Amino acid sequence: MSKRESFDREEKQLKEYGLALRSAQMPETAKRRWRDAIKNAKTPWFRPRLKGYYAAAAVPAAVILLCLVSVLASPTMALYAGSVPILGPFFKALGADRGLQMSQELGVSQQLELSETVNGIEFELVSVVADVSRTVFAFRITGPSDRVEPGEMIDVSVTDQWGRSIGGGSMWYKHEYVDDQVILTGTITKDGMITMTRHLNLVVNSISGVKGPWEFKIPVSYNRAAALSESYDLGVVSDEINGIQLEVVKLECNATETVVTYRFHGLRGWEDGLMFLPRLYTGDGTPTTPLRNLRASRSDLSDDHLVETVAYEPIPDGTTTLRVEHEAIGMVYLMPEIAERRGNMARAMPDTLKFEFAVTEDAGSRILEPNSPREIAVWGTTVEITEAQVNGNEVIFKVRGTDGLLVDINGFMLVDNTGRHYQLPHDSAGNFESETKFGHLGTEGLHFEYTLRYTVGGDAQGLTLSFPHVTKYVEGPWVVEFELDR
Amino acid sequence: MLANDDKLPVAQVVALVKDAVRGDMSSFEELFTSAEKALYRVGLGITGNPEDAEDALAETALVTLESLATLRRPEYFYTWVTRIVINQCYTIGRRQKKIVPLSSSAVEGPDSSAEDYGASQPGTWAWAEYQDLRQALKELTSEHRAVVVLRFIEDLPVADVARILDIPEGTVKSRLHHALKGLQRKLRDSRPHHHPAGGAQSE
Repeated sequence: MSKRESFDREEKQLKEYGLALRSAQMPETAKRRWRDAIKNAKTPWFRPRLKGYYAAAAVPAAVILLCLVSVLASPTMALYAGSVPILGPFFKALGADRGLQMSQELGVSQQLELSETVNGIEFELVSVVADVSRTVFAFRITGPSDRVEPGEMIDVSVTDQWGRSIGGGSMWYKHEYVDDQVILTGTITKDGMITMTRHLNLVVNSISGVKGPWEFKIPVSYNRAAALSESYDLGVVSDEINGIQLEVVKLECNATETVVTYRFHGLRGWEDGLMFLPRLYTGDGTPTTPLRNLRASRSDLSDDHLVETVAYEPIPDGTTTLRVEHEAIGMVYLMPEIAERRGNMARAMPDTLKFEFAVTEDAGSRILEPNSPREIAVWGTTVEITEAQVNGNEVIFKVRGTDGLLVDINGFMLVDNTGRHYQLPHDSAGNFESETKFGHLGTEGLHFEYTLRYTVGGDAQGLTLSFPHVTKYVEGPWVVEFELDR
Repeated sequence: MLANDDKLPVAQVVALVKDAVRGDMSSFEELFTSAEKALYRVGLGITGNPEDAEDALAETALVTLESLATLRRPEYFYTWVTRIVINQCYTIGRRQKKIVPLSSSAVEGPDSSAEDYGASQPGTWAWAEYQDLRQALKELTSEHRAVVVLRFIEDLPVADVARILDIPEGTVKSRLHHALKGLQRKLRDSRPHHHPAGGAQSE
């Protein structure tokens, strides 16, 4: 009798338990709770990056402002001096980043006691944080719960002392119900340098559809923040991998955040379709939390490089060694007609990214004969039809994207010779039915494989399968280590 | 990666992650909804308590929302989010260890909330039928529970379990061995008590 341990019984019991759990309904409370949780959460979404020449123009403009700010006087420093230090706990309770939590201690935030009530809704401005790379207003709104609806739009505009509108930025807030009132507490962030103004005008035009305005004039000074800001022109580059190099152009240690400007080289003809978010580590390997993408610039797609600016939480005082890593870049590639519809935002594919087949008879069976090559090169890699067959009205294609080429399953287009478009069958949830396999980004390289089954008209004599949308992943990692001369 | 009927095709996942990072909340909800059932099961398996599983799921949604932009390989969304829920379960477990009841009357039975849950919602999550097994699972370490839940409840291959937990396959196998051994011992101990006719089941 074998003495080898057997856990067959336990394994069987666990599998039965798992099967029972998988076939059971999930409690509604569990579904509801995570949805409620994210409604109350801050949403640190990265706002869409500026495109093209607008973004390219923003960088030199910002640099000029930085140069000018240091000669300004400080008209409102007295306001900082009298503040009771309560903003740290306030920002902490909000779940705001470490820089905002430290802002009062650093002397770049001002506690305000400004409030206005219009149509039964009170808007209270709790503080303003004036850093050189961002201006943050903290607010609290209190109103009857039958009028103020969390999630509804709050329309806010900010102008400088000359009445010029300050665009961009983001807002987030939490909400809580107290008796019949709802309280929204959060922040409005304006990115970039608006450092020449002596005051800002904040106008809340409407809250949850209730019209205001709630108007505030807030004295600000960026002098303290400018004095604390240290800027390093670096120009250090990674090794070139897959034709791409990462350069760390500049690092700014601001009072409440660290802003790093990167330049990716070797991108000629590539669309900046997916996110670039290099990771920033201090010398001991501690990661620095990214806060948001500030801007990206590229004059046009023939540019070899793309400039990206990312804000992180402040690096600790005394940090001199830093490391930047970026692992993979994904870029979007579109068919010409799609690219045109989207205002040339993405690079167009060659016209040839279509596979054409004639439907013919062979010994009584319908077959597919390729009228074009089954393998098409896109950006140095291939999309290939590994199998194409027809059974009655069902047409089956097996499609493979190799070396990091992801074909968007929602984008496949099948058209017959009479101009009829066919879609993949989809389930009740609207998901297309296909068999999808993908390999791993790593030593094997990333590859995707799909089996597509269409039902086509019996009179179809020709079929064209095309791919309006693919994404190419290029693997790094690109690593840059550098020292700061502090 | 997850044993989840709602799992989306990888291309759709990649597109949804991209849209969600750009601020489309409905894409985030669609993405997380596709994983919620499996994540809840993993949470339930590791914490052994429906309320803690709900906590873990809600915390996971928040962490996912706040960190999605740092996900470098969107095609691994399900792996990543499973790792998050497991970490949330560990955190909940650690937090509970620090809570000291004021008096013995404040201490609930070992599985009272679970019993209520099973009783009030008969059949839901097959809760009541596997009391001994659940109790035995609860007595394992959280690391051992995690490998058991992923391997047997989620029915994942060892390689996938290793990828989710970011540990070598050999470690997964070793933890499974120890976990099953522990389960066997605990279930054996509990059988005579819960099943007076247990002798008929002896091997």
